[in-house]
Amino acid sequence: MYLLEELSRKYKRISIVGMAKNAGKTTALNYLIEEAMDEGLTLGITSTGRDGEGTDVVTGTDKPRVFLDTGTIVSVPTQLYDLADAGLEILKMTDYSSSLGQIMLCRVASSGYVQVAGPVINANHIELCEEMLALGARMVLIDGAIDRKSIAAPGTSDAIILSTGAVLSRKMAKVVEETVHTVTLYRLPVLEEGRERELIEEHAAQDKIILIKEGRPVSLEVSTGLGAGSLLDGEIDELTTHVFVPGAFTASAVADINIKKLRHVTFVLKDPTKIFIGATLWSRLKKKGMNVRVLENIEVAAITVNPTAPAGYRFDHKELVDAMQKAVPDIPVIDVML
Amino acid sequence: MADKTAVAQIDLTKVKPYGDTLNDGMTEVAFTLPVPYGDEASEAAKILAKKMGLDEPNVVYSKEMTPEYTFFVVYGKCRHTVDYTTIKVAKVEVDVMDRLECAEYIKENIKRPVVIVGASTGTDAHTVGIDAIMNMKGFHGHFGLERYEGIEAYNLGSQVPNEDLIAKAKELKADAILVSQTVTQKDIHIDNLTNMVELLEAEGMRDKVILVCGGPRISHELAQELGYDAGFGQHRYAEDVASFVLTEIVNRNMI
Amino acid sequence: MKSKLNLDPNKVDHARSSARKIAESMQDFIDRHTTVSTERTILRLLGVDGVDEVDTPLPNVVVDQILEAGGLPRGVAYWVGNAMIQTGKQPQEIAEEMAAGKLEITKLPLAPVKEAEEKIMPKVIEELKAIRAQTEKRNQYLATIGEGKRPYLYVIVATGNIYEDVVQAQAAARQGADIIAVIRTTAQSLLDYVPYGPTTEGFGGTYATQENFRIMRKALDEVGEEVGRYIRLCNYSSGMCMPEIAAMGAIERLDVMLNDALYGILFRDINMQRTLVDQYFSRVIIGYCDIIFNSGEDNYLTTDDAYENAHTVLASQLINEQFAVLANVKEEQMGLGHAFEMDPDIENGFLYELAQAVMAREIFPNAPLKYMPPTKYMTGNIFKGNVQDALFNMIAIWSGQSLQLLGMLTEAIHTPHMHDRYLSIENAQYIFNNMRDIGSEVVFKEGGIIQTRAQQTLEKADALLSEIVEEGLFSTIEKGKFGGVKRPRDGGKGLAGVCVKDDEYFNPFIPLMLGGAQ
Repeated sequence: MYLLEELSRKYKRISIVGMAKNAGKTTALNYLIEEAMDEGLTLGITSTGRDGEGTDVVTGTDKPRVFLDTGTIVSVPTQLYDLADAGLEILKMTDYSSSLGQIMLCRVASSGYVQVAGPVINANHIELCEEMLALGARMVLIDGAIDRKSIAAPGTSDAIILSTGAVLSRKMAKVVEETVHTVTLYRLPVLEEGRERELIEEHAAQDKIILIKEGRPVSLEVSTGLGAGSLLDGEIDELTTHVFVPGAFTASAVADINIKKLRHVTFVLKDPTKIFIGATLWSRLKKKGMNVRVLENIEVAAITVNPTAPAGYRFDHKELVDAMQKAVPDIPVIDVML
Repeated sequence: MADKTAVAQIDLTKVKPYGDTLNDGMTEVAFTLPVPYGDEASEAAKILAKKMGLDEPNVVYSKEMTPEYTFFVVYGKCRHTVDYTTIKVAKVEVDVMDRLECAEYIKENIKRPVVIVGASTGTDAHTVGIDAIMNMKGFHGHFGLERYEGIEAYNLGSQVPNEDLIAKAKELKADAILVSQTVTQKDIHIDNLTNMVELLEAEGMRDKVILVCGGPRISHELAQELGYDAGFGQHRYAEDVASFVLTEIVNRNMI
Repeated sequence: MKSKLNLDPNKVDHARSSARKIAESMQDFIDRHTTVSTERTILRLLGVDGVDEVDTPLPNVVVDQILEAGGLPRGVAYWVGNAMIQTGKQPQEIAEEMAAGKLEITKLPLAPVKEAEEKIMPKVIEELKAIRAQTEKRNQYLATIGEGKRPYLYVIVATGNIYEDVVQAQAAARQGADIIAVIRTTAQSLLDYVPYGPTTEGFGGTYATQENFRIMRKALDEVGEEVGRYIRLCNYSSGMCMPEIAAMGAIERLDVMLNDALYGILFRDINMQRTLVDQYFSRVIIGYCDIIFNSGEDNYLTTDDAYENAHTVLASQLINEQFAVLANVKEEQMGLGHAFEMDPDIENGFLYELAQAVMAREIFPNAPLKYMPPTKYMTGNIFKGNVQDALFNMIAIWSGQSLQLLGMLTEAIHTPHMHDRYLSIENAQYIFNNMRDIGSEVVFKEGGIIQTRAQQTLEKADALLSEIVEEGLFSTIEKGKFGGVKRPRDGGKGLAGVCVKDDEYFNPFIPLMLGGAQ
């Protein structure tokens, strides 16, 4: 199956998001790069961390290197330029800096290994992608660092590939459960068109918590839901139908809300990356009757699985793929180690 | 002179451990093997030491920890060398100003108080790191940020949840957030540091604050990989952190 | 016995009576309130266990439903007793039906309180018998295989996997350890429920679960029989679920439990009203089954200066002692905490540490004092660290400490490796043996540095306690007088789980446990 061909028809920018470090993001990236070579598709490649160096700064373990084909557009910081084994033509010096120097946009003039790195802050990636597309990339792949999931935010890319694997847990059921939780969050239902959505969108820019009471918006004087549970509990009354939280949606934001109030309001978030609630607590809150909608959800284009963990244990390839595919039947699941 | 003796010169392209003679390579290691105490165990330790690159390994001590586990102290001569001249460590690149220069810099370039909030976060109960940087008293004669004119420093202490630190930073409209991580197990500090960045991104604050982490196991390179603006390891003091934060405020035009 | 430190006994008595007043004034508040965790404890003691399909423990399911229906002031004992009358079912079945959504316990016909109480009494007696049997088993072990000499060597295991912890704990016991503390993942203290089942992938420790307790208890009994010493098991009855974990500890025969409301307030930001009520029931349970509790005063010295604020440790120890007295805990179970945490660069620092430790011993002659090792000034220089730990061990044997949490030379680097623990046990055994009777051989110079330091610390502690009597404990904490940490009365976590009892509320366990029921 040619995954990339299908993806390139639908999306311009794809983030590769890891469920954990060592979940196989770079391996997934290489898998797509190889397909692109087969099909002669010009890619843009960037990373929120650093890719292609021999060892992982965090774990000290071996990391896959990244081999790029001629024509690929890639972001490389000045200090890594000399380390590339590919021939790189510098197209542009950007304004973004990293620990390894200014970020440059380059075209691969002769194929070879390259160490890739991009800006540290997500917002800068959006602009960088635009530039890469303008320079001729048909599609840009953004490799996420560690398990930084914020890169999945809808503004940054059109869709994501979720990389998961044995590293999450020694229990396969747990690997599947955690992954499914993330997928479920990413595909949370979008708040339907209508009066409430209009009101929220109109006021969202204020960066304040907004309550909708009988169709009227009430802004709270706080901009964060962090630790605001008891405040929200006080503010939610019988007339309240929706609570818009602009920032992070955490356990502490809902912890102190009376369960009856929790049941009769709908929480509205900008997008699923705002949710910081684990699988167990999420299912408990759902059982209690919590409703959550998002303004925009996240397109999960594919799930890649890595059946081996750096700690030395592994699952059977087929078993893991099958278990995952069974849990998420409508998203392609790919074993990148095969 | 006829009785001239040869004196070994230090060759920085081939550095190895020093015991009492240049290039003797003397190294001590201590470890436990999951094998029963005895001659075979010591032999195993020796073989392992050789594989570690230690020539003439000498098992100077071995002791049964519990049945099936043996502890060793081993000396040997390290055969590997390091080319010191080619080492490049990613460091925070900033001209370090002392406390008074920082105050002057704020007056001239920023012209308002700079707010810095810090904590030892997550499960870490150690306050040593954050106290050394922030508290009045500082560390080893380097005064902490609380004593800097023009800086309002808030030290929230230890075991502070990331959420609380962010909420406080938002409330105080902080320019910079300092995160300290001292002790770690199974890399929980990594998860915790990543979670901090993710929460900041979610709160839409990441590009509005200068985010710095520090601790004995933190390097600048690691910090950047995790999405921080800078990371400070050992032997860094308040002036290093302050200089970076102040310069960055000006560079990023956050005045 | 004459004080080696020349402490004024009147001053000690005065300080102690101030602490008594403080504890009693709090007891009025405690007696009027109950909490969700106190109520869940009653359920656990009535045999309710297990989880629903989203892993919510059944005691939580029951209490949450009663709380939501506004029935908590009456207490779960009534509701369960009533449900037993109305349905003819046992508490566990009742909880399971509630979890399945088949039963609303507050909507049943209501029997009189007296009848509900009578209905559950057989379950109550049965459980108390089971706990008694565990206490007797401990006594039997102590009488047959015996125990190590004091100070007991107290070490921690913290792999995050209970089965791996077992391997390390048994190894430690064979190396000489007397007490094994299974480190709990820090995150648990803020969970308002007790997780279920064995932990195999914890961060920084395992959860305190009943299954983990059971697994480790069995392992320590085995190794205890093998080495011919009873090996004590320690865990945390602290955080948001203090009494629930105490109940689990009673059932599974733990021997030592960390239990200190002040610690929870100051360092975990748990609401003070909540945790003081929780602490009371937990100490009643602990007192009943001969568990030694450990208080957390040592922690003040990691955030505050150990030299400047040593008196806050003594003041807090006295308060903790009096809280324990009110819960009917025997002196022999009061593992009051303190620590060796002064800056090693202080001239004569050893003398000040010695003064503090001897003073604690003189003021609490029968308490199994818990002495904590240096942590704050451990640097990563493991060689110096081993020397710091040696000085700490010298003070322990000199001043007759009881529970010696061994210092690790790798403190501030990682949780202990197997050989780190070995080296620390070796260090302690060497010093304890080599200096065994130094305490009874050496007297201190009249008016010298040590005597003066102890007298000053007592003086300051007494003054602080008098202040607290005037001001009340709640507002003293609000002002940051302990550990330099300020906590508001209505702040922190868990206040929503506190409620005022109604006139017919009853907790069947407290009166029986206080009365020492057989």
